[in-house]
Amino acid sequence: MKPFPEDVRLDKSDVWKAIQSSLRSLVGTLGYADANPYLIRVQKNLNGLVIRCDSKQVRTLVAAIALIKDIGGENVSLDVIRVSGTLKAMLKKLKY
Amino acid sequence: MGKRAFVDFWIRPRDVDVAKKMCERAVKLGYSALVVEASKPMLEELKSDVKGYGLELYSKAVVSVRARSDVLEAAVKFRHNHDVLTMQCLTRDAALVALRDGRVDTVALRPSDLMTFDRHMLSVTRNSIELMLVDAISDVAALQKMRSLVRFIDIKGLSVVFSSSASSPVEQRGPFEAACLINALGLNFERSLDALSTVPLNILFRNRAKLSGKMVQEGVWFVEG
Repeated sequence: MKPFPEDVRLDKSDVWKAIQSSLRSLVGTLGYADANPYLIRVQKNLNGLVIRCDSKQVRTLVAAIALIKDIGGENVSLDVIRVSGTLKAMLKKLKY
Repeated sequence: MGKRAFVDFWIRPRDVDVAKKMCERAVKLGYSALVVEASKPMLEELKSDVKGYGLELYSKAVVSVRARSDVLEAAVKFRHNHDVLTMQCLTRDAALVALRDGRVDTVALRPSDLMTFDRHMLSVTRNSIELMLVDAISDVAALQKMRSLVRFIDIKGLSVVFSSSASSPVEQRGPFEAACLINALGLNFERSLDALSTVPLNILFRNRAKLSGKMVQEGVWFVEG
């Protein structure tokens, strides 16, 4: 997942809080627990984030990410670059 | 996902520069066609600018209507000048006509409007219903209203189109994100993908055929022998 515009500087914790808040607002606390999101990795200079979640709730998490319109006062959107079944495959595809 | 062609059925850029940036972003996000609400000269300029992008551009007229007569007048006025005609209904009377009129392509139902949707309106619907991403991301109340509307649409099995209605590149989202959002609102995932690909593509194909004169009426085609 990457922010757009790409040149915007965002704080990692702000991004993560925005995702959590958007998911809670979309599906509630129990839905949040079902999705069980977890921040795995932050790319250097914050170009990308890797998030883990329950495989049955991927679409819900993506929907919550699509609903984000501003982070830390900045008008941004978050683009989902890739969805993968395993972390190993994901990191391979992203060429970490 | 890879084989489908996706369409963003409504973008409304302020000027050519913004429109060009939106086209660049749409290509990056994976869209192959854009429907632009813009003036003819602006659209022509944009078409020449984005020639190399592999993006098809279509023109769209969006008309806000209040009465039955407004719908009929707008249909006569705009139908033959634009690839897509969308009605944004402000009253129930106007909506009842727009949802049935064969010249109208989509009816934009905005959760922020005061008009409410009922089962009768949806039972007489012939045209596609257009839902917008900007409404979904605007506030929670709009999202809740959208959810109830999506449930109606799902129960009745109506044709639905999902567009961004974006006026800047930041408001645009990828087709997968958009499909996931409608899916989260209660529509089957396949139908969510159709709302971004098959349904709008069929409308564009049919309208281009009509405007070029190949299709006289629904189901009546000129065949060259």
